[in-house]
Amino acid sequence: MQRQETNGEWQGLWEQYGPRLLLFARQQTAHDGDAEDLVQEAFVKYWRARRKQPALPPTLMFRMVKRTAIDRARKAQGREQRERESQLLAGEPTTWFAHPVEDQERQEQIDSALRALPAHQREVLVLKVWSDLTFEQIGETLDLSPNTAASRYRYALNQLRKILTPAVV
Amino acid sequence: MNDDLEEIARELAQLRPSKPAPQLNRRIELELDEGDDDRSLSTPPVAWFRWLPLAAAAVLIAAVTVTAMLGIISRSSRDNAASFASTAPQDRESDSSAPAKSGFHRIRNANYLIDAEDNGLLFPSASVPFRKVTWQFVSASEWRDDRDNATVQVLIPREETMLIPVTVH
Repeated sequence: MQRQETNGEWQGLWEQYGPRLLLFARQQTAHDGDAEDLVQEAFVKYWRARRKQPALPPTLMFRMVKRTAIDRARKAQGREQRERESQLLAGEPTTWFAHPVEDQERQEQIDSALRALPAHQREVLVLKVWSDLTFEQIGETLDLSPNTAASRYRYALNQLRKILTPAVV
Repeated sequence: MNDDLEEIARELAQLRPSKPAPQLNRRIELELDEGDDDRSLSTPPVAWFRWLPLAAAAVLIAAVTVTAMLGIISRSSRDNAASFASTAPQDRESDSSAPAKSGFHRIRNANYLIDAEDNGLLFPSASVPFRKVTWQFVSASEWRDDRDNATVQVLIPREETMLIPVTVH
């Protein structure tokens, strides 16, 4: 009974942060299976830690995803190359966003424009827009200064505007 | 930020990150059901074997050094037997017991930091989070015999791992 109650508690947090964490993890690795592994590891670690220290902020999970991704990349040299190859073989990339039927074409434009951004700009954009982190929190998550995070965010938006504006007009 | 960028940001914010697959939810549930996991703290990765070749080389150097020093001491004792005969008994005892008396004296004793690695945060379920930091040093000692300027170096690789308690604000 106790275990069921504990599980019920994490479900709420998972509902809220699961999609955001997965989107962020997808910026750290090209392989969707690895992104899911990152999210699982970070979420479980965070949940266990929070049971002992309830004051731990949920935004810490993004940093844990980032750190876990870095650690794994260090341990698996050459993995990126294999991921690129497997991604090529895998065909269509994983969908990052839930597409309602209406405006699907426009959302696909945005999706592909996002993928065209440099990774360091895209991860800041993801944390700012879809995870609601402040620039200070983004800086802590990515080991950047808040000013650098803000600068990358503006560059990313500018880049997206250049790509997407013709469709707006 | 200008209006164009804000408009782009608003449009992006309307997209909803896709939800994780139910299988990921199930995996997390299973892992949490397995109970607390203190493995990350109780069995830290053992990295000493990486240094085994260097340590073996250092031991070999040390052995050669001791052998050479004993040989020098022995030869010195034979060469100076006449002068030793005229010294007091307590002096003769101290002369034959320390390498420094044979001419070798330490000219360098230093620790060199080779690498510092931040292994990220650990979240043991039974205590507060830790930051794991690993330092790799080489301890270098050097002796010189002033009579013939012979020098002996001993290099000992060393790795230190520290778990630093982290307070989250």
